[in-house]
Amino acid sequence: MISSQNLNYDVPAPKSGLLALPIKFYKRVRSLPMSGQIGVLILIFVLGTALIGPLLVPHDPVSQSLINRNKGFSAEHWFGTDAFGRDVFSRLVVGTRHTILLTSSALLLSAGLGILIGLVAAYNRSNWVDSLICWTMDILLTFPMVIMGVVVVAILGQGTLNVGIAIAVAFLPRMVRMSRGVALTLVTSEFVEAARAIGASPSRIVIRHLLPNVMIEMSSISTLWLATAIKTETSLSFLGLGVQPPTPSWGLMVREGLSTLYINAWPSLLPVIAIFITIIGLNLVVDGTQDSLNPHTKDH
Amino acid sequence: MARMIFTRLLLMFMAMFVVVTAMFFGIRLGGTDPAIAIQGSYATAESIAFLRASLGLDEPLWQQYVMYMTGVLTGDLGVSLQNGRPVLEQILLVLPNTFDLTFWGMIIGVVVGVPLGFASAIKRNTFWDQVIRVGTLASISMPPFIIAYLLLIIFAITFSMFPVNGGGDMDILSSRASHLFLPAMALGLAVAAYIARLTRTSILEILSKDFIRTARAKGVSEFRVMTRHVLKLSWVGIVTLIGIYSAVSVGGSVAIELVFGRPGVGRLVIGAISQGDFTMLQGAIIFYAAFVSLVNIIVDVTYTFLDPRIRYT
Repeated sequence: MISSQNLNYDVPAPKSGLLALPIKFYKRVRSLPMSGQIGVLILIFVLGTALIGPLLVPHDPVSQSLINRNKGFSAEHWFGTDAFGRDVFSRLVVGTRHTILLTSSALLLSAGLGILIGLVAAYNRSNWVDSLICWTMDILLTFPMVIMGVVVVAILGQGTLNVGIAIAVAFLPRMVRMSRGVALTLVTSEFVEAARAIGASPSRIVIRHLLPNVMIEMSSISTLWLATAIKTETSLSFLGLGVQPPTPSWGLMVREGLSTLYINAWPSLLPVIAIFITIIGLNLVVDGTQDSLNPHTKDH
Repeated sequence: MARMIFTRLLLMFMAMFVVVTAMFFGIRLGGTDPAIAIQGSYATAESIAFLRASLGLDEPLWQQYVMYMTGVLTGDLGVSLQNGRPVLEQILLVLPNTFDLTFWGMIIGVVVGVPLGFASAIKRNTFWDQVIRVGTLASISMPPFIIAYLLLIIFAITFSMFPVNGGGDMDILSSRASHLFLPAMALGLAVAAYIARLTRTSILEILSKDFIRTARAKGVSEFRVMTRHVLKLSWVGIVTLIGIYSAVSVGGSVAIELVFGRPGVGRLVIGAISQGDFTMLQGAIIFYAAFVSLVNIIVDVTYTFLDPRIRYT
């Protein structure tokens, strides 16, 4: 008889204390190449801005002022004002939260749905359910991301929530394919076989056995797509399909600034820089982690 | 081969049928009411009801659907709900503009991207490799409309080298080309960055293959290894990229048309959404879907010529 003490595998006890997690994170970050570390710094800055920035902004991002239109940089308005006399700095900071929150929640939604559909497809790999799912996803996949977003917005109407759904739908086929691929390698493995042998129902196998394993893989893959999601969100809000004026978002600020390019380019140039810095930060992190993981590109 | 093309075309039509059907019902059940969109929010209930009736929006949904689908099959995409002109006519009017943009965008993407990726792979981990990698990373980190915006600010506004706005006169070559240059460049640079990075990876992978080592071991010159062994194999991957990124460039063209104020299918779509112009929207999406599917089929056919290992039966 094996007592429960004997099953005590040699798992190192987590270091107690508040600092354990930050230290682990710091060590992980330091193991990245230089460019990846810069990327992490950029991301921390952007996330911090998104989280606490809107609480600290000096001006109301939507309050207009006719006498203060198109002003340059000053102590009062750090990044000047736009064509409606609104403070560009405040709009930029509030827009950060909008973009980050919208894209990450859209990706979460997409990953959740996509993983489930992918698992169902993988579990039914030999019958029509899988074929139907794959075929549908292939059709969706032929549409460019922005066009998919446009179609979804056309159906649901303009607005922030609908752009979120549009991004989620645009990423759905990619999520389904990935999770199906991951799950296919698991479905034939012994622990699934064992679960089936002791009479577990299909839904139990999918949710209790496959899902946790696929989740780990998918969480890192989803992060890779955050950059693409931000590009899609800014494109859609640039097209005027997302958040409606006067609420600020990066894409919309670029769009609004286009009409005053000759007078004052800053209200549109600054969000461009913000988009660029954010995505380059994400790409640097992704590049760094991939380089240190991929044996093919590592020593070439 | 002929059979494969036939099956793919059939699948393409089935897929487009599904897409159009989903669009048709989705938009009518969830989209903006075009009668309200046309008359504005101050319109009276009677005038909206009258407009709905005259647009044919009061008919049962399935009847509208059957009418629309028979129209599509005979090449009639209906009339725009906004201005009453035939949808097909309006799309064909601006299609050359959009085609110019995506076609030349792709050409620039391939012509710039493939050599860059090749150079980067051959000179790996040297100074030039780093320059190319940083440059392409920067380009990937911008949505195409932002590249377009920066080109617009630098070359059209600051240096006044190119026209700022519009599509130019399509019949005069110089005007057409000068209006096309910056938008196509923006699209091309966006695509080139992806193509360069993926070309680099695929060539590095080919370089680590056994037959390359064999070729070098038996004394084949480095130039010959590159041209006869590496380049020949890498074409398969590059053609795939062209297929994938022609879809991306179609997506990018929508926002780029807006930045440069070019007439095009993308502008029609954006206008149609805000005005609740269902028929125009459906027509434009049909065009996009057909374009993307056709490119995919052409890519699949090209494979068989490039890689003798791939054979369709």
